[in-house]
Amino acid sequence: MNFMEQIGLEQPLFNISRMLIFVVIGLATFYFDSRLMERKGLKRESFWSKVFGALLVLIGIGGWIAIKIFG
Amino acid sequence: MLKNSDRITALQMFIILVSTFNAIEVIVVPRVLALTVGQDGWLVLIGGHFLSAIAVFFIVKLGMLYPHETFAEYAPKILGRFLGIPIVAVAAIFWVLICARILRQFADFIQLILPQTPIEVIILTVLLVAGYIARHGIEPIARTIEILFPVFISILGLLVLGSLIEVDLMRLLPILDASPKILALESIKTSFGLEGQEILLMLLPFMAIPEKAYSTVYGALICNLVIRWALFVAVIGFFGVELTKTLVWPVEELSRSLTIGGTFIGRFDSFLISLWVTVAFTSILVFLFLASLTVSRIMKFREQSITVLPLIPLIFIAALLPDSIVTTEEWSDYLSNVWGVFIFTIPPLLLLISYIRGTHKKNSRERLKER
Repeated sequence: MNFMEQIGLEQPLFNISRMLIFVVIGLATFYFDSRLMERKGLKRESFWSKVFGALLVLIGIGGWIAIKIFG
Repeated sequence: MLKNSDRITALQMFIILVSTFNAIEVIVVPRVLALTVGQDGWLVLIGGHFLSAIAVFFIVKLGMLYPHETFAEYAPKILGRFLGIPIVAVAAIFWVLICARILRQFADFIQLILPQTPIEVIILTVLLVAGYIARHGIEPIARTIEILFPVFISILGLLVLGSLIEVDLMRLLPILDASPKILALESIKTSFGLEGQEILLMLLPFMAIPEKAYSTVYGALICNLVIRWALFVAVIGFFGVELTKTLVWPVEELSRSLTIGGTFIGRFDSFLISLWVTVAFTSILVFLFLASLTVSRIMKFREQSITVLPLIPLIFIAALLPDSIVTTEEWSDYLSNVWGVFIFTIPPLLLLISYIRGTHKKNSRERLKER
């Protein structure tokens, strides 16, 4: 029994299109939100936007790779 | 940071509350009640709303002690950061999950009319539009809901009035067929399922006149009770208990079975579906905003909008977790019960601790000094 079946899912949670959603929204957060915050003079928020964006990209790609490797 | 323009009137808050209560429940509640208590569901609705009124009393009372702060700000002050932050984080997680649940049920329903459209597309398009509005704060959300609400209410009113001719009230008899124990348990479950009663934890400081919170929230509860009561009577009176138990979306079935004005409006269900979509959308919008606001307050951001986009993929994936309508309902029940326990215990506890420690008095003194 693979991981997906163990948590009661019959289909993989991360396929290529779902991964892309994470990556695209992650990139939008990384570039657009952080710049928008910087323009508003909110340095801390701009930094955190970059962190959130990078995390989303990592989750998307990492999740997809993990599913590919571990089934 | 509260913007000066981010203020909503009591009427807008009333509309937000009623719309949030009626996200999905409004179209499934007759079946849920028919399955558990049969024709006595109308009694359970009254009991459930009465219990919710008690829970809401504590929520508003607590909010009034800290009229300029949200739950995410006053909970750590009352309990200390060590306990307060995890409790607020739990609330944020629940709002994310509730948003995902509504989104999934919404998508399942929409697949009735768009069977070829992948569920991911339905979920993502709704989330992106909701995200766009949620980024602009509570005022645009309130205005959006204000426009959509009257149309939905008139359609529901038309549905109930249209079904009156064919409703057989004898189907609601005998009264008190279910045992008092089951009625009490189901009343508790109904009050747990009224998601939306807790939004005042976060939205009270956004009210232009917070003193009107009690009348607003009780008005919303009464309005919601009338809507659900009327729909329950209409559905049971039309289909009877046994048939209602077998209908996945009984209110939609009722609208499909009706022809209003002879054959003048032949497919009434198309009106109901198109307008119900707006109500479900407003709930998704409100819960997305609540989750993003809570996360931004925990992290002490001066701008709420930056947490909206990162939450979208998480809600998207959470909405895709259940593999069928049945699993969604099972998980949804579980979520409602756990969240219900949270709502019925945490605000009264916080209120008690705040009175014992006098946190609210210290807080108002500090605010006066700051001025």
